[in-house]
Amino acid sequence: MIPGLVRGIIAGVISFLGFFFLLKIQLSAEASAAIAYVAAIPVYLAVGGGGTAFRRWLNEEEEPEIHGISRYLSFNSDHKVVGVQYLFASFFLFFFAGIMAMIMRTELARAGLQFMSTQTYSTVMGSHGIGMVLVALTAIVGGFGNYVVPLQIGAKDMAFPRLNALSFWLLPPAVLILVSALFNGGFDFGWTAYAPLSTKGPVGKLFFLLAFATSGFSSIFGGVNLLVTIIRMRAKGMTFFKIPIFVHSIAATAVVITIATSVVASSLFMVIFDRVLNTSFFDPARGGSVILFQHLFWFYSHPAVYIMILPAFGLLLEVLPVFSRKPLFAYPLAVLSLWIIVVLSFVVWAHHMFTSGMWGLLNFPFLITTELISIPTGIMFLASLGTLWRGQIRFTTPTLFAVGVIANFLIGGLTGIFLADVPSDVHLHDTLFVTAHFHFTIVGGTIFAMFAGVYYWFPKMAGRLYNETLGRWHFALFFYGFNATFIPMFWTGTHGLRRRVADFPPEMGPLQMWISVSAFVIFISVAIFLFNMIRSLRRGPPASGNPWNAQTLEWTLSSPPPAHNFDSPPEVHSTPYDFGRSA
Amino acid sequence: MLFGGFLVSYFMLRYGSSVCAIGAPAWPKEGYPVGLALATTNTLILISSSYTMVRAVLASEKHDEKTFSRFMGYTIFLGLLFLCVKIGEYALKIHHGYFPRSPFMEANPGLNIFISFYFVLTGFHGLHVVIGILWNWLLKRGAPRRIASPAFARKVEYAGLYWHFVDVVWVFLFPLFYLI
Repeated sequence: MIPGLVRGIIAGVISFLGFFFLLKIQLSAEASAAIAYVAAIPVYLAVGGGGTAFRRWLNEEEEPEIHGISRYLSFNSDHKVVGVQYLFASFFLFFFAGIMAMIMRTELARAGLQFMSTQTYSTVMGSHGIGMVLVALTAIVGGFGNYVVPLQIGAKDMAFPRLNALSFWLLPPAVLILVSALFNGGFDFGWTAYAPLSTKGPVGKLFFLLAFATSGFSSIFGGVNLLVTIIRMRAKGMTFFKIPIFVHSIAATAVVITIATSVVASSLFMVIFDRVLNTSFFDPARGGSVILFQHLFWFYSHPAVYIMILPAFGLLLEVLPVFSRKPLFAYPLAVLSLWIIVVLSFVVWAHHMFTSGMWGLLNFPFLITTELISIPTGIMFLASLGTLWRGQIRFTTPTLFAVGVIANFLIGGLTGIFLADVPSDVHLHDTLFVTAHFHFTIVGGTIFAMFAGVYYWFPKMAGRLYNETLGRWHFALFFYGFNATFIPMFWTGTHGLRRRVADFPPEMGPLQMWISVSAFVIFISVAIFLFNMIRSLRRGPPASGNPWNAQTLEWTLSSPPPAHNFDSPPEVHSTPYDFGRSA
Repeated sequence: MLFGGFLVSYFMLRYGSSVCAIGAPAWPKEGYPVGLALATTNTLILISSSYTMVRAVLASEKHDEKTFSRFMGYTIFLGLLFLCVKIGEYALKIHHGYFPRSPFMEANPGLNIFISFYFVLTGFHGLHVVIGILWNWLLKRGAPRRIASPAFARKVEYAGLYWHFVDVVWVFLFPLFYLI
């Protein structure tokens, strides 16, 4: 019996090609590809097992329980399975986009062009970008959000389990079409797809847009589902200020996802229609506007970095109290800061556009709102440092990664000020300074937090303990390699080296070589991580229900948790961070 | 928010500076086949369908299969009628050369943006109507077996909320494309 996902993908690819060549007789390649893709997705879903799930939904039947490894490749509505599926998909993408980064750094190790054209470099750079953006958007929210949130609030499953399965199932077609874009002319617009560069050129660009739009749908379904779950299905007694901070951060993220993602969908659709139907939204000669794209794009894509970083904050503050054996410092204030960031995240987008030629009077208000965000973010820092202060800190791998988040994000946050201030941004815009700043916030924040989460919840998910020594090696090499890679980029950036370019002036040669070597150190550290995970999944010592002595609800269950989570609905009487106080 | 993105773009391009920059007449005035009569008919059709939907939701709460099926049938019929009128309207526009890259539009490049918005926004709205009709049809088909369950009434209520949302979107689109 072929697993559902494989069956679905085969059927989807066949029907895509079938539709494409049928439509090609009458229509342009662009239009046939777009229609064939949209038509192939239902086929993929129906054959993969979504059809049966849909029929069960209509007839109000329960989903059957599937056991064994094959459930991870089926249309499965169990939130724990969906969470693991998301994590594996994220690691696959992480690996793919990581390879792309290594290719870039190999090209950039020496001045001049080594082995690829500037066009290929742009495509490689763009696929690294969009791949990693998808990882940062889905790994924590999709992976841990699905797996951990229902457990932490004491629920049996998500509010809409089948929608949850669907939201994961939209990712594989997005990844497939993104990878196939590389072989269909590629895309040279980075991950941002600015119009009018994106409205013309090879069909690979259309594939990129379709992939982006599909993952947007997946994101919206997931966000709505998490939001309803958190609002409606909390355990008895879990009032607003007794919700674990990780759940708060996921709820805040879900609000951002639900509001912002459909706006970028509108801009992507406009670009697709400009390509396929000859509309003129981004064609100034026919009444359109190119600045419009940037406004719509950043109205989503700035909040998107909060979709990436808010769960990271939540994870950080979830892990720190457990390992410093102290209550979470200023818990109510940290919760409020999360929600203030949600509000502010919608009024800062144009700080990406100071040099775009938009209406100049907008600069100043966006400078102010952007800098306002540093206040709630600073409170997050105070909460994490206050939690560590005079705690009984256990330096396990999750703690190391959490502390790494604090160190990295401090650099990321401080360098952000220069990009928020209009005068310095005009100089720094589109240089490697921006690249370094962004990587310090998202890799240093989100990816470090993701690894903290992987190590923290690995015993719960796998029922086995990971190897602590290898975990520390992973952290040490990753932290060193990451800082050694990106700190020099601040320097090259302030000296005017532009990002997204395959070449650089020869006098920067030694430094570029240093950066490339450091980037490979990151690669080695991730290889250690993969080795550790695979080995521990197969041969790690069995984990008890609560190896960290944590107090959130997921640790009251066995490792891994039973199929229907809680035998009797749990009740909550206190915050989950009452360490060091008598019960 | 998808419609929000489109509507904001509409306002930005209609009243923003970029349209004036090309110096061509940007929004159609003389001789444009507005189709106001058709659109007004459609508005009335959709609003009536919202009423029949409310009746269907009320009937499902009382587990009254007969009334439910009747009013759901009316709703589906009105939805289909809306789509028919819409197709007629598109045919009228295309007949007069109001579609992207037609010879007429190439001669009046500024008009492209209006017609882009017109087709994309009403098209997306039409797509939502199609989804609503399918959803309602599934519910109507399942009604004889499942009318007694409270879960079914809840599903009908969600479908009702969706249908009203589609209606409200049209209430925004109608003035933007036919009145002002």
